[in-house]
Amino acid sequence: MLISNPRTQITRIPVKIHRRVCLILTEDAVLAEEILARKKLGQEICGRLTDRVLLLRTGRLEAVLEELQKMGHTPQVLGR
Amino acid sequence: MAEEIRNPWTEKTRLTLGRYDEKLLREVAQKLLRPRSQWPVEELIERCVETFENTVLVDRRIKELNDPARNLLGVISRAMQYRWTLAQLVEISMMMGAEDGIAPVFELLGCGLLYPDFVDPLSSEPPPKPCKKPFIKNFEQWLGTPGPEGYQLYCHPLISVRASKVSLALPTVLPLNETDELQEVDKLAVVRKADGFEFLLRIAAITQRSRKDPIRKNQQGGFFKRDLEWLKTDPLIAQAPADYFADLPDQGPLLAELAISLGILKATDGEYVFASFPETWKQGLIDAVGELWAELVSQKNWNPIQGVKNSLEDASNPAMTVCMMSVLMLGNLEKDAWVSIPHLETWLLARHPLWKGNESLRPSVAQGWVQKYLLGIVYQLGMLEVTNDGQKNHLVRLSELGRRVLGLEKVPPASQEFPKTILVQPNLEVLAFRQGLTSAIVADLTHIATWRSIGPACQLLLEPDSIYFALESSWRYEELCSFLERHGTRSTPQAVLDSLKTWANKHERITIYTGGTLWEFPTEKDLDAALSRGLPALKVSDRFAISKTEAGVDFRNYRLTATRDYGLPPEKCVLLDPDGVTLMVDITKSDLVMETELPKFSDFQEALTTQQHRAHRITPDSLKRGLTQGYSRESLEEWFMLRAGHGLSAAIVLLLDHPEDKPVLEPMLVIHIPTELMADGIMQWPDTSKWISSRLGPKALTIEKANLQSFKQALMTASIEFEIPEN
Repeated sequence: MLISNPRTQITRIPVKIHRRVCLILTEDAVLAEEILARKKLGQEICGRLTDRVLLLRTGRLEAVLEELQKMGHTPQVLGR
Repeated sequence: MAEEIRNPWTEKTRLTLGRYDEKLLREVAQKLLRPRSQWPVEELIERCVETFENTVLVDRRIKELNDPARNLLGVISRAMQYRWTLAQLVEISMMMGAEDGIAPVFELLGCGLLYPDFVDPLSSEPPPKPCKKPFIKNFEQWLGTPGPEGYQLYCHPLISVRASKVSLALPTVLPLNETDELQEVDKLAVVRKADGFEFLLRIAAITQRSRKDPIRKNQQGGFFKRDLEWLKTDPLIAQAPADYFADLPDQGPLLAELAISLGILKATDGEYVFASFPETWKQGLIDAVGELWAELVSQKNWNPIQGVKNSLEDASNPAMTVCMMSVLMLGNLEKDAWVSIPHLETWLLARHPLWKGNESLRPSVAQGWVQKYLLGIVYQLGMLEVTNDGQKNHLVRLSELGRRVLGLEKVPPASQEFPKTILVQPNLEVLAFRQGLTSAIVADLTHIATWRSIGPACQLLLEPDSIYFALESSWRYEELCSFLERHGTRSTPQAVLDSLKTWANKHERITIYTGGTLWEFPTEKDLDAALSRGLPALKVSDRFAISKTEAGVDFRNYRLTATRDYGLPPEKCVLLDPDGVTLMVDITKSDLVMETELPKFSDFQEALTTQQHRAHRITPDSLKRGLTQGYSRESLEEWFMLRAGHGLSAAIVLLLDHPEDKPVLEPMLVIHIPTELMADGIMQWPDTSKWISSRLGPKALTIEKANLQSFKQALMTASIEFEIPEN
């Protein structure tokens, strides 16, 4: 899938960019399961991209943070 | 630091000069630059702003000013405040002895050493071409129509710095009136001075409280009633300091206003929340106190006698000018001279246009401002020393810290000190002893622990919320431990380190990206290639990597196949192949949620995948998998409507449905009819149709072997020949 530009000899890697993505990255799959099993959190998750990556509904960050803190977690929030 | 200050102000000045009428601009430039030739306006403006960095020229221009204007500029410089109102400058000029308070302001405006403040360099609107749409034709016209910004002015910091050497036309010995008695210092009385941390600590406590209860302001500029209530009553913020001479009305709201002025609290969605501590807090107490003191004069809705006004209907606050001048006056007196505050106030009020000869003022506002200001604020900032005379009246003078803040004494070079001033106890309590505190330690402690009490020894508590906040403010576990070790009088107890470790570990278990960039590569090989070329992202699966921002990405290495905003609604992006089970996903339109849905009920087909489409195929097994994961025929139907624009294909329905009527195998003869019309006729004419079992297609009919002869005879009656093979 690598595309080479004959003029520059730079092989350009095809990529699709998803911007403004709101997601949770967990340390392990079990923790992701734990989050999905929590009723109030489960409804804020719109998809599980991988074992450890959960996609969040847009605009629901504060509610998710509050619920995670209730669970005793202190999540690291990047990009706020 | 100089660059950070200079650039916005220089840009502001460039834009302001661009809004002058060309004639006015040339007049100002003539006094500031004295150009020898006629330059175009763009070049003239550029040269004017470049002049500010020419210290020799600026010094010369300051020297050439008349006395009232030079004095005014000197006060602006000493007060360390760049923004002023016209009223304040007029008041200052008159207190400095000018008969016409506005003339020195006009003199400074005309020389390009002071500017009307009506331009926002951060505005999104493009500025008009220089001098094409003049806002100010001359300064008299501006006085008549100042625009929505009002009578605001500013002095460029580079000019203000150069004016710091101007000696002020203030007395070095406070003259006494005939009625005043000379007050001698009681030599046995103690000289008291504060450490300067009281307000810093309380501002720190306000910022901490504002994390849970963000401060809000109403449209009039006052605090919301609920916020005003806690600012006035929270003992940590509002109670009188242990060492104090005067009660300060509404101390909490004043400190909150100062925190906002200093940018420690910033407005976000209508709420004031903690942003960061100013750089000056890292530099040391002199800078931190200086910045705090400089902001006092610009407070519009608080004064030392009435407290908070909580409404900006009357934005004038003349008392703060008098108060600021009282400190400059103290700075101008002989170094060790003690002054009685009433004498000082009488001298100042006698020169202020509001109080001068005004006998109609209510007694409550006639005097007492300077007493409250000096003893209530300046003393707590550590800028004042207080002692008594023989009759126990307070006498004051500037402390060493005060003189250093005003630039009257040299500031010693900053040394890299790590004072041991905190004691961490096993129960997570922290004691901070005031003797060794620095403004930087106050800021750091505010990040990692919750203030519980403020006194000679301050009490704090390390708790999950405070550590969480520290971790959120980009502290790491190692840095927390190192800070406690560096400033702890004893080594940090193991129990505390364990707690910190537990909280920090929990913090690292979950990471939330609030608006990250997700990089989707066609294959794992591509992703690995990108990472090896330095893509600053974290690999989260075989094809995906996440980064907080796109900063530092060398886009020359990539070919963007598509970009997609996560916030956009889902689009139709699936094409169903004629086989009814192969799904071709258009990657330019597909979104992440679909990426999570498809693998649940279909299998990826690498061989069929192209640069524009990713192929998936639905198989009986993949469908079974989908059904066990919660999909049903209805939800799949809905998914196809949303993503493909139509319902399930017959093939998928075939794989999904398990009807009770099973297919039956039976022998049947097929008659091929020459034309579709003839087949229609056979099916419609009762004599023939009764022998036909079913119609397979437009020109194919089925018939049982037993009915074959009867069917042939029926056709014969219509003169249609029909051959039946013998076998």
